Amino acid sequence: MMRFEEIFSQKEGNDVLRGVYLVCKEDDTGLSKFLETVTQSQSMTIWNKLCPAISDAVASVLVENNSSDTDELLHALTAGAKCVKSALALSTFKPAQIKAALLDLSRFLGDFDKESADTFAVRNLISSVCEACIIVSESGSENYLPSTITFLLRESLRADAKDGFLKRLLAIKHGFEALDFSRADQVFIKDLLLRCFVHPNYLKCADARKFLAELIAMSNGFLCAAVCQVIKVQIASGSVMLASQYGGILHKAWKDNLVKSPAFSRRLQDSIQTYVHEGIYAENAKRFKGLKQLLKSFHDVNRSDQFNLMLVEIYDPIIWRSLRCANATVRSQAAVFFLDVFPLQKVSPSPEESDRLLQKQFDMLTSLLKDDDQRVRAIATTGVTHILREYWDMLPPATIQNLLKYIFDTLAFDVSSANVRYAVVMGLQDLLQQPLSHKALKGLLPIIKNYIHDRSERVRVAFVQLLNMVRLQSILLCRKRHDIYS
Amino acid sequence: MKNVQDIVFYDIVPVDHLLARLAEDRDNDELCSSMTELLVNSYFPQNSTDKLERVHRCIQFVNENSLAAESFYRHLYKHSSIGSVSKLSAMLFTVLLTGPCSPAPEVQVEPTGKNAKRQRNGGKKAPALVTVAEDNPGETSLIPDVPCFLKVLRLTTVLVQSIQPVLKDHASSLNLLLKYINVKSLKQLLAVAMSQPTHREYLVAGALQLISSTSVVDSSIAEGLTFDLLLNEICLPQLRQTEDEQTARIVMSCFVDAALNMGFEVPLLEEITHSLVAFASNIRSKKQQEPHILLHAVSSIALLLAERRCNVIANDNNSKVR
Repeated sequence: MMRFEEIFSQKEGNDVLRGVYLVCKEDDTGLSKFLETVTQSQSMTIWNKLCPAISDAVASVLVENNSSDTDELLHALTAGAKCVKSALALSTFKPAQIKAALLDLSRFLGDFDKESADTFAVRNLISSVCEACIIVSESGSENYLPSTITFLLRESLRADAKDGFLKRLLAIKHGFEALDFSRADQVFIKDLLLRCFVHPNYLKCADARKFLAELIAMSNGFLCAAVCQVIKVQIASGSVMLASQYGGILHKAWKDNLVKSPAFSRRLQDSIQTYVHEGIYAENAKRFKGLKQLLKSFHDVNRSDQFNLMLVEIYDPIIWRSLRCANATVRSQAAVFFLDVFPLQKVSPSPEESDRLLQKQFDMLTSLLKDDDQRVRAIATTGVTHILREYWDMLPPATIQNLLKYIFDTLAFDVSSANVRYAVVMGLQDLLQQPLSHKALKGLLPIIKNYIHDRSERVRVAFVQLLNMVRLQSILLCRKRHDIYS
Repeated sequence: MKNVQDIVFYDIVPVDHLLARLAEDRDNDELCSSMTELLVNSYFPQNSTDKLERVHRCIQFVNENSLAAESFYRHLYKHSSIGSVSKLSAMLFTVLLTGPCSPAPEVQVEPTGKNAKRQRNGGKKAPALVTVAEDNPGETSLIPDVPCFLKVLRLTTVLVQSIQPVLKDHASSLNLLLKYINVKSLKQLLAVAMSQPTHREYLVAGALQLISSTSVVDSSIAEGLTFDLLLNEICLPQLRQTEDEQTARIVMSCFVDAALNMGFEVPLLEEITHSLVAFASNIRSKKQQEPHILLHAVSSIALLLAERRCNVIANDNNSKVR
């Protein structure tokens, strides 16, 4: 205590800072205790001394190149940051000078020319003080917000970054709303933000993914186009995990802004339509797989009326033509998307119109099953059985009967391709999960009994697995009946 | 619930077809494993009150389609506990000791009676499993004839072989197995095999295979069943009697396999070739029988040794024989 009194009674601000640094190096609890005891007038004198000194130190460290002096200045900055931190923690009296000093200090955060372990420690300290102010929305915090965010972004985007910086960034994410990206000095942040969409630390963490979804919609979606471009490039790697993470982010961004900012949702919808188009016409299998996975996040969710409308708007203009395309690869890829997104529905004033749309889809299912190309037939078989499983009780019985009849009478005996026969067995395995289908399947399954001797080993193995599933289902049923009757 | 119908797999595919496919695809592990899973409740019922239910079904299965039964029991351990598989092998082995039901009377009565007596004398330790014969006083054994006996013997070997790699981690199963399959009982099995009027060589070969696979998990078997015993009392008499070259080869290769698994030293094997050579020349001098069978036996041993990277000795022996 006594030592701090001596130190702060020195005339020169630089001497004070040096003294504080030396004492705090050993023990910095004394500083806040001392600052608690000072009166308002004393405090004013202290900060009148410190502010110019800190300001000078920052100014000279930003231009200084001499290493011996730099050390000295860094010590001064550390001491200044500690003083500000301790002073801000006090609830009693906060002169305006403290905030001025903090603003000065924050200028050092944005200086990346002199990066080293020493400067990092000082920056980290300054940043933590700034963050504390931003979290409690201290007045004037918007002034040092950009430099704090830049510092945290840069640190969290390093190749060997720890999760700590990411968490600290997420804690002040409300500050992003105050940023004005049209200003020239903040354009730099845009590049950093785009890099967030690629960094594994961000994609791994669920909270960070939420943050990314908010980022896309931020400032009226100025990042949207750029982000969609970045995602497109990333997806080319074909990683399933990555694609579904991006899908989740885009879906959340779309859903959250549907009411808040319809114009942005509209733009995002256009980007998604481009994905669908590219997926259908993808030449590269990896790209197709990535896009399929990304769009799965849109297909496999509980659909509201508005969501259904969006899907119709996305798919209706492109899907029908590509399903009749002359190129079999395009047809098969379009079939995958079509079967995934089924059913396309929209609430319309006339029931005839929605009925027409559904009937069009049922007809398409049948025509896909009759396709000339075996790949399309195989995909259609798996897809149709999946649809039967999901929507058994909602489909018209006549449609179900027709589809099953075609599968069992024709596709099950597809001599030209084992792939199709394999798809039949796999599809039936899927369909067996739907208990309502058992009544129909009981009569139909013996039709394919000769699959046990199929030429293709894959089909034989799958068929035995199907039999195993039949056995398990009947055991489960027995147990359920037992539970009910006892 | 009303709308849900019960489908059963044997209504879809007849069981005959399943068994035929199981036998045909016995080299396909994935398929056999799934098929075993499918049939496990039919041939290896989990909650049966009858202790011998599994044994009865096993014998019935092996009579129906032995190849299918072999691949079923080879994969059984994947869909059942190791303990129950080793219990089944022990039970089957115990059934084997009683011999087949209706061979020629003079050979059948003596060993079975002996065995039964021995079991009754030493019956304190293992009453639950060995009382098969006593449970069914009308019949002497569950196994109807010698071919079936051979199949069950083969099946027991398959069962032991299938669980052999994991037995070390399952001490209680191992103990159970070794309680019933030990030196004394294996000797009994050899005696039963030797006493059969037909298929004797195959039975001996089968018994040797079982000894071979059991000796991998229990080293004390090699101490009890000595090399000389196996060679002079079991193998050579079979060789003397057989007239078929193929059979001689099977017996000798089973013997060499067992000897190597039991950890007998390579020099010992060298010795057997010597003794076989001597045996052959003895016969040749007496001109009782063409020694070609023995020569084939010796060369098949040489082949086996060569496979086991004992090239030098094998070549040496080969040249001696020629």
